[in-house]
Amino acid sequence: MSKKNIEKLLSDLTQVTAEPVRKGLSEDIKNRIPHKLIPHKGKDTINIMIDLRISKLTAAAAIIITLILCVNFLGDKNTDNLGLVQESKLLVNYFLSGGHKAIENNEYAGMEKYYNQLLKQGEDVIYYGNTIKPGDGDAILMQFKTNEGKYRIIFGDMKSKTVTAQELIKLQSEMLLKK
Amino acid sequence: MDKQPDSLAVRLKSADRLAAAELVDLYYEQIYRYIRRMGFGCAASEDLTQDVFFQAWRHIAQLRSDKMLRPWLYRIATNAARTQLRKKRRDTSLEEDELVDGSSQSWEKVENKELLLQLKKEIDNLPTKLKQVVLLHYMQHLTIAETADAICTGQGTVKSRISRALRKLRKQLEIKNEKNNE
Repeated sequence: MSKKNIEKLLSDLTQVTAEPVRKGLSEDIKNRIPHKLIPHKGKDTINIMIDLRISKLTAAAAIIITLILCVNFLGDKNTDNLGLVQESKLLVNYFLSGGHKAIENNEYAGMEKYYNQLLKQGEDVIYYGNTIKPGDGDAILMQFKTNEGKYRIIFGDMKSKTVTAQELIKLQSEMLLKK
Repeated sequence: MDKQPDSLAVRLKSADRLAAAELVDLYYEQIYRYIRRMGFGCAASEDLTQDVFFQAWRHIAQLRSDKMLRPWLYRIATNAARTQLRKKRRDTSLEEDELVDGSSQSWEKVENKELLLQLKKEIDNLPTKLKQVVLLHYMQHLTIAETADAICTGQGTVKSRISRALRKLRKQLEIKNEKNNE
């Protein structure tokens, strides 16, 4: 059997198998034309189709992170420089610990920011944030020297007061003894 | 001077709904028959044909020119059929018989019915890559270049696959013929 013969047979087969197509099919397809066909903008654009299935919890986390990003971009100064990861951690902490702990951590995070700011300004400042128990009213969270030669102290419960050098030494000793 | 009418591809890219309908009118029969010849039943072929056009509208940005329109649609159809085949390995075999058993009206006046039925069977038995080129080039009448575009390969590869496919079909039909003569 030659190549021509087989090609002739294929041609015959094509005709025989060209069965009629249901007339309504074209209408069925046309009815599915999207009402809003999106025009192609040009050669520089690409189409990204994402079929993403995520859990409700993940979706909630994504929404929260998006909100934080928006807040950062729209200029909420309280969250400035905290960093996305840190802020997300705070939110997760907030939900896991009923909100309490996260608030404390958040305050500490703000305090840390304040500490870094003072440090940059060349102030005589010490920060104990990592060593004290959150919310401890007797523990010194941060101390820095004022222009009058006194010391401004911020405690673990975020209360603050200005003390003399002697009073500061006394407070520090008490803090060490307690430890 | 008269302004040249925009090509179908250009109108499709500008989200023209009439162009979308025109695309259906031009190609729905071809695509349906191609899918049918790949071995799908009537209902499955209709569903897949609808999907092909739906995907075409969604991915219209990928279309480069009018020239590429036909092979591009066939590429979508080939991929859709392949995915469907993977999902359920031919559970449409009963419907498939409608096409193969030669009982439909179009087969009645055929002279070499037995031979054609045998050929149809041999095409179905070809490896997928060879079957694709036979269907696209000989039965859907795509050029070598269009066939190459439709299956995302080079023209040289298409030619070599066609050659291999024809050789295989010839051999199988000859064997069958010899057996019948004995």
